[in-house]
Amino acid sequence: MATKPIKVTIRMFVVGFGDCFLLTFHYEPPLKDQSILIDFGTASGSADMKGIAAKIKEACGEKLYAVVATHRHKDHISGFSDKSGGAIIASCEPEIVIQPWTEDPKAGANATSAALFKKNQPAQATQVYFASLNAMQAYAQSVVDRASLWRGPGNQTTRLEKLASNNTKNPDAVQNLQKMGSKPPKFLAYGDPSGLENSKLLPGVKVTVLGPPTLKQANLKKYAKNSDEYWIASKYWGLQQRGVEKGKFKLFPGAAAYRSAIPTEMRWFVQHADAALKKNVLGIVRILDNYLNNTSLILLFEVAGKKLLFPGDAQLENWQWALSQKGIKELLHDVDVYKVGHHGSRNATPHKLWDFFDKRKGKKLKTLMSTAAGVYDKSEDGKVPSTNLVKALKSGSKLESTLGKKATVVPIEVEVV
Amino acid sequence: MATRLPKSARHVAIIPNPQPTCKYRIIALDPTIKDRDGKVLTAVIEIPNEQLMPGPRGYRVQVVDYDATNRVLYKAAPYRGEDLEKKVAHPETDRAFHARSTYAIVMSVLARFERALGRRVPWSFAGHQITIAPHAFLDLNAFYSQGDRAIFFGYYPDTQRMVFTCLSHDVVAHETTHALVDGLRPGYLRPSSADQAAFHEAFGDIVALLSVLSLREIVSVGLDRGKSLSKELVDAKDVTEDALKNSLLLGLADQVGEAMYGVRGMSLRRSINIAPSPALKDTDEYQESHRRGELLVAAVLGTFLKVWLGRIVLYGDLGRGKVSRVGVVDAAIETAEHLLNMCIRALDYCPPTDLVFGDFLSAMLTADFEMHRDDSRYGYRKSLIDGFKSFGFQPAATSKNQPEPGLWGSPDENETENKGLIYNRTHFESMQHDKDEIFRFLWENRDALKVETRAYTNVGSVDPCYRVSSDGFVLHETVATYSQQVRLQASDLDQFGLKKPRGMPGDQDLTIYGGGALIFDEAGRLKYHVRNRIGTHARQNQRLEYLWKTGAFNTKMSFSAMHLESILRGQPTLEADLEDDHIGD
Repeated sequence: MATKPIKVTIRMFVVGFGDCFLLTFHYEPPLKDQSILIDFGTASGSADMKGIAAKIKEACGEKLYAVVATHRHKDHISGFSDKSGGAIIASCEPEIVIQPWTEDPKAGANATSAALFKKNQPAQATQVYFASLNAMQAYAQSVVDRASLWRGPGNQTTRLEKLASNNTKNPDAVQNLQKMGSKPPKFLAYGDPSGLENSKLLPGVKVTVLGPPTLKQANLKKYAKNSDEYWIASKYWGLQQRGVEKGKFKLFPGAAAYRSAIPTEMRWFVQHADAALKKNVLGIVRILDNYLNNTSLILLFEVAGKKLLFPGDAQLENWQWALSQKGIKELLHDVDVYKVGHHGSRNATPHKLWDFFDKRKGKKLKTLMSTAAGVYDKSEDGKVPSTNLVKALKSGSKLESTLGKKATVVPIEVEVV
Repeated sequence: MATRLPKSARHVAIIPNPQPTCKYRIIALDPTIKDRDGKVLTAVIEIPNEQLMPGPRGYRVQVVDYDATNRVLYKAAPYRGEDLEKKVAHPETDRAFHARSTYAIVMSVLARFERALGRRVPWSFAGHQITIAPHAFLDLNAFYSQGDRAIFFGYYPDTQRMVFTCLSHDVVAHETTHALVDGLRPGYLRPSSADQAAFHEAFGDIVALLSVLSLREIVSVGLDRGKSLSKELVDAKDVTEDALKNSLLLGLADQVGEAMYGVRGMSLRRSINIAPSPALKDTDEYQESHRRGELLVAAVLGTFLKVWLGRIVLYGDLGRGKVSRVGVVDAAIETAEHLLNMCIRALDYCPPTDLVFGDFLSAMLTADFEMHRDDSRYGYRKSLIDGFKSFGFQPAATSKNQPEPGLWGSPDENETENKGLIYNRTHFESMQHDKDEIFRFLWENRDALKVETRAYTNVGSVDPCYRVSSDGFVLHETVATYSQQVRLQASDLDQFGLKKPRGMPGDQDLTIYGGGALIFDEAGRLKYHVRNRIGTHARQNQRLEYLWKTGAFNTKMSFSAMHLESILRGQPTLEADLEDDHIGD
């Protein structure tokens, strides 16, 4: 009997700005084919997520082996919510759901901002970390709530609104993910057993967890050393949360103010102040967006002599731990398939990583990029996908991309083994 | 046809106070700092007098009290001369006091720059009046924005009270400094080196701190937190090095980190406690721009403290462990003002592009030497060299033929620039204000001055300056700056003798910069040419390596983002802070 898959298919669904990958491991009978769904989300409104869910169900033979939710962002998990394709995916009865450790309610994922207002002690670092995460999501939610203020003519959704909305809590998707698997969900960190390997159901497939790292001992020492900075940064998020939760209030009750017509000499400035506020908020949202990206689960699949790397939206800060560990560079140098991190942002495919991939030579490397233009910044440095990265991907790999493609239920199929 | 003036304009305005200056009450440090009676400590400062409109709205600074979060434009309080100096009952919640105090601090920083540089100093935008929004939005940030011609001050609810960033003297002075330095040296916001990335914030901190240290009320209270009832004496134990380092003036604020005041105050004031070591600047930790900036602040503050302590000793112990309070305060004020002048004047003597701390040190030394030849009394220049050296920074000027170490050399000293500077086809009078005339001088002397002819060249400023030197005479100089830039691709770098960083693709678009500051003496002869040439290989190659490593080719920092990064630099990440490293750009 064959002990490894005879073929591996990756389906990249065109979801607009988001990720949805279905990996199918084909076996010779009597073994059954097994499918793993890695992320199912979109930040674009145009994707037919229920239709795509139905397509996933069909493609996996109505049975998923596992679901992987790399991190909490809407463009990775929105499809799991009730009003989207959550029920359809749940009906595929995945054995297990895998998420990063930062989603584990037992680890303190529900910490409140109260923790942020106590002077930092190294022992509280985890709690403070989670409290910061939650404060960020509360801030993002407040931006979404206020977003209509910043819409221009035609009530068009702004980039700020899209980005903020990507960072809200997505509570029903998160809850669905927790109860979707037949076994209890697993929350993973660097070096943990993935829980996916199974010599009976999924023989010949090795899965290594390369990120996210935990708050390692080394970090706690660093926090202690720079505890004031650590604490101030954490408190900053706590204060932001407190500010937005305070809601509307009068700064100077009873102060004389212009009720309607603004004096002509002040109009230019008032417009600019409104725009400056929006820009400032966008800066804050970008920071928290990066922060959440760095909670991404990074998985390396090894199957039939091929290596498939799925890093979610991990950026350098997440990668760095793995890359500093013994043997990991050697493990990565012959990667065959790379799912481009964070939809092609310049932060998510650092030189340090890209330069390892030996199979760039002769374009033996395959890269998969699920993305859409216009969601992120338009500037050259902030653009997603980054022009320079796309150039590098094209010259160093066979790139399959959803860029410029209309959302559809028909996936791009790639055979990798 | 002559236009008949409206009736109101035909009268000479009656100026209530005809004096050139007037006094304003401002916030001394921030509302957490109280006086002996437990009231918020305020101070009175003198600023240029003018015919103000309600706001206050003046000829260089106008307050528009607009809150963008709540979309409320407050009406300005009526302008009454008698309010300016008056103590207000509740400074924390008095909106009109916020406006007056912020206006006055911004004006005082502007006046300091103008006094130090001996000329009018423009804001960094085209126009004359900067707009101040003292309650701009709900956020823990305050920033200068060139495009909006404004400084925005956020506010925030903390546990006990509303926190107003406009009520932090440090924050207001710091932001005003950005608005001025960005006008004098616009190239410093470009990515270039760890030093340049650190400079703007560090310089803003230095000006903020030295401005505060030159205010009598604050220094007097700050010495012993107002605990002594004696107006004449202060305990000797309160003016030792350790005591001063931990005082209100230089130490961490009482309620550090409590809110924005503390956040700013902490990073500002803790620099003094960095134990000097030449090795620090090469450690990974101090490559991060805000951290690196602390080294510059520490070097200057260390100098302040050293000179101040030296002067306190001169006053001597008056018996029973008491020292003259007036003497100690005067010494602080004079020392702070002297150093502040050195720092501000140094800007004229700094290259307009690719600044490193060694350049700034040489510029400070040279600017001070021009004004005060004799440094023997308090040894500012020697202390500065020692202070910088203790953190591993040497003066960029290495000329041996100068009367003192670290001074920029004159162009005559350099053989290639020695002879043949052509003056007779340019006109001395025009050279004091005309950019085209300066460019003609540059072009005529392109070989001697090593001006790159393949670059786009622009004379950015020409300013005559008048400063009163210590001999009582007016020092008249003309300061001009020019910048050069070349747009090219990485594969073209070798045409300029430059090295392409390893791994950079040949079609990478790049801009390389050069430029100089030209200082002419009162006879119109070139006295100094402080420049970084396009063809200075070592520096350009270092910059290219830095850009390639950090990936910041197209970015120009905004002050808003800079401050946010400053607060969030200790953000709990999953892994240690790392250098940026991106593909392609």
